Amino acid sequence: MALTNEEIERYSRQIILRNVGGRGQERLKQGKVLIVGAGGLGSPAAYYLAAAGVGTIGIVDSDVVDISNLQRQILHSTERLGRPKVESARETLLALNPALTINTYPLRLGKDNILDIIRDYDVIVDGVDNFPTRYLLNDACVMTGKTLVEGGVLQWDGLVMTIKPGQGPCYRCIFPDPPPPGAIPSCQEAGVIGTVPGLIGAIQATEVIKILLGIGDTLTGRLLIYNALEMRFREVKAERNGSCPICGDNPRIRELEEYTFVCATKCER
Amino acid sequence: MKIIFNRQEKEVHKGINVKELVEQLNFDPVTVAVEVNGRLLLKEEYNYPLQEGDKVELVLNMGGGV
Repeated sequence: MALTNEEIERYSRQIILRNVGGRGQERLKQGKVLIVGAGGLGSPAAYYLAAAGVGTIGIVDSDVVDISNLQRQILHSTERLGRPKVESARETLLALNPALTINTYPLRLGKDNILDIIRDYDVIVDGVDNFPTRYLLNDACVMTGKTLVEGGVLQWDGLVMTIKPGQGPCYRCIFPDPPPPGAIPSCQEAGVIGTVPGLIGAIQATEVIKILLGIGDTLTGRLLIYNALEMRFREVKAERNGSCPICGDNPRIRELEEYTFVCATKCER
Repeated sequence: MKIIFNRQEKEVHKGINVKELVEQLNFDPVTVAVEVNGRLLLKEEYNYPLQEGDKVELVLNMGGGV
């Protein structure tokens, strides 16, 4: 998949990097990345991956653009209120980079559709807004061996890790089961500063770029934890958990399960 | 005895284990992971009795929403 002259110019600032080069740019062009959630994390992640020239980007989201999204979800805009987020995302990404293939999935992932959707992609980015989908995505990626770049935010805090099944811990190795409904508030309930998912989503995109290029060290077996109020990053080592319910030595979960979703307070979904 | 909790000294009773500390701080153990001296503990290690000077931080399961 040779690069055109326009592509060489467009991506010149990264092609010039010794460990990217024309060959790396071609790998990005051939790359297929699925972004689950076109929200606070998915927006910056998708935007930077589109800018970097990742050739095929899939976006999953069943919501429409709401005015309360615009404080952080930078793919969308005021004139697109009420429109499906996947369409809004597609328009923004193609305006930035018309040569890309943007696949849209205006649906909620469930155990009956997730495997068909993730099958076509090299890397999955988790930008979901609820625990049931987060655990379903983790389980599906572990079962199919897909690399999953996890991100989570709440209030002034964020967390990122890269899950490479078989090479390090998965989400359940660290948090074996979803918290009971209401135990942890959502951002809708507890709030979030828009730059926190902005930063975490940009880190997720950076992980994807390195994975597609096959360079550098990813956040595998390491959790990067960010607190914006103290402006502090810290890193915690984590290992694969032998008693993990999905990737452990004797897994309890052998087929995909769905959890019910109950908000602590009023839920708009 | 003193431990370092979230980078601040905290007085706890001698022999307290991780599970007891998490509960004493009013966290549901299922919602957090516990880091002791830079490493995340497995749930099986929650009966680990903390030692004087241990550095403990909680990692909240932040999966709930953007």
